[in-house]
Amino acid sequence: MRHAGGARSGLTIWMLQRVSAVWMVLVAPFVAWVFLAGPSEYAAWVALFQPLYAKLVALLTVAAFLVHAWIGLREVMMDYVQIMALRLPLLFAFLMGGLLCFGWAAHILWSLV
Amino acid sequence: MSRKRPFYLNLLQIWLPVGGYVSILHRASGVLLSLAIPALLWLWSLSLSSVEGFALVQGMLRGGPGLVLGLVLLWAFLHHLLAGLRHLGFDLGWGESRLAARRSAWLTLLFSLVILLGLTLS
Repeated sequence: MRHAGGARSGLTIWMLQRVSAVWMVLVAPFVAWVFLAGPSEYAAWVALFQPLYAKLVALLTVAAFLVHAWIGLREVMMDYVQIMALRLPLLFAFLMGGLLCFGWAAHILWSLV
Repeated sequence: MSRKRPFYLNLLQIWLPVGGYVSILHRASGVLLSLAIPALLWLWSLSLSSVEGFALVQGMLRGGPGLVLGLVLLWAFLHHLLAGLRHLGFDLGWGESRLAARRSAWLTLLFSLVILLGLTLS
């Protein structure tokens, strides 16, 4: 039997979980600054996300959050949702939800005037 | 695996080492943060939509149930962040001895609350 499940997919997922984590750790000080000392008025808040690089960093951070969340939920479900007929649709639903959220975030960022 | 093994996992009666509680809270906070994503995106979208929307979000986070939920999520984030950094340390081989791991587990619990308090007061 060839490829019953992809022997290396676990390692890729393990790595993705850490790469996304490290990215969020790097962005965290900036997010903390935004909340503690960042813009307190609407115009400045919008201006923060105007430059292209800011949009890209924000979108990449949302993507890291979503990927990290999906892998985490998968891990929890592998322990607590033992019925495959339930686990797989749940995983798929969370994947679709994540993709929707990614699209939503891109829409929020690129519809700024 | 035909032999029947004893199965006893009543968390109210067994006593876990502190790392066990940090681990459970790491998972619980992660699930909480995951499920909060749509709400956070909605708040973000509302705050960027208009001056009124921005003021609405500010008002929600200033007091009442919004503030309480915000603080719960902030705690979840801080705990998850610190517990995650602890795990990245283990990946690099730092602090793997039992004593060091217990100490870092206590520090994770302590600092997530200390930072939460500090941020709340500031």
